[in-house]
Amino acid sequence: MQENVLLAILVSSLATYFFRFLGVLCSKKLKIDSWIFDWIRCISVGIIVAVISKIIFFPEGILDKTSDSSRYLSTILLIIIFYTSKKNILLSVTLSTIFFTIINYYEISLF
Amino acid sequence: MFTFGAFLKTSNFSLLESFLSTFFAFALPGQFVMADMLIAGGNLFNIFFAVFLTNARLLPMTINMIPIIENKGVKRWKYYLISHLIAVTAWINMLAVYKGLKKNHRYDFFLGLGCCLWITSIISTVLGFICSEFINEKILLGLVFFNPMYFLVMTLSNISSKKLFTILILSATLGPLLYNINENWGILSAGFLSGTIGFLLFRKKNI
Repeated sequence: MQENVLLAILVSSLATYFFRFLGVLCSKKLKIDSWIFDWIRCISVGIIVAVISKIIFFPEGILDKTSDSSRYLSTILLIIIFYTSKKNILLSVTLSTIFFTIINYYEISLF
Repeated sequence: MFTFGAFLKTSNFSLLESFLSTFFAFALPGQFVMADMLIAGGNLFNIFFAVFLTNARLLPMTINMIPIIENKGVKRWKYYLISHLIAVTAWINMLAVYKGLKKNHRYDFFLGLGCCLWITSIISTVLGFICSEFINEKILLGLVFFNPMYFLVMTLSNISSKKLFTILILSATLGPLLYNINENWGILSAGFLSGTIGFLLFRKKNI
């Protein structure tokens, strides 16, 4: 596992730095309004959302000990607060996390 | 980054590995994807491609930033080093202030700004990791859960078109479904498919 972690950090670092390097190399040759950058952005959003939904539905590690209902309801609460508070990021994340912590701290059964 | 340090601690990273993660792979979304895929048992190939595609947005950001900070007195190789500091927070802040800076001061300004954010991120990751050892496990749950919630709300705040909203719905549905079919490639496939479908559906409509 430990060796895998170091290798994972190494490949992640390479994957991350590759685009910065390429960006410096091509800064005079590529235009940022190209369709390919739009496509990249779409895939980037897709991967992040897929990871988040996987964590909510099939968590690993410590979150595996939490109840499904606490994760689902906290996520719904986050979305509701976000859109009803004029898209206040700090408020929605804080309140939904506090809700989640309380539910799991006191092991409250929601369903 | 503090809660991300706690996330790494519960993902079986060591203190050194947490430090190295932010030191070398400095870009939180990619680090988050890497840690979650690792804990889910992903192999190095799908971790590489998932981080590669997640962080591909750094390419247009760098292309956009280099002409802004370019200075004839700075040697070219230094831009390859400073590019490591290009991440969302530094990029947004630089774009907000660069017009008020003299052209020959911008490189140094960005160096200071980027280094400050990078070092703060490293320290916060390490502190989050260390503090999580002394925190009640049930409170720690909240700190760890903060990470996906933060990324979800940041993504929601960037949803400015029907195209991105479609991708969000598609990906949120396909992610768990494809993960159930294949734990190694499910997430990567879901992200790639939903992003590509959304892109193609709205390509000409531009909405």
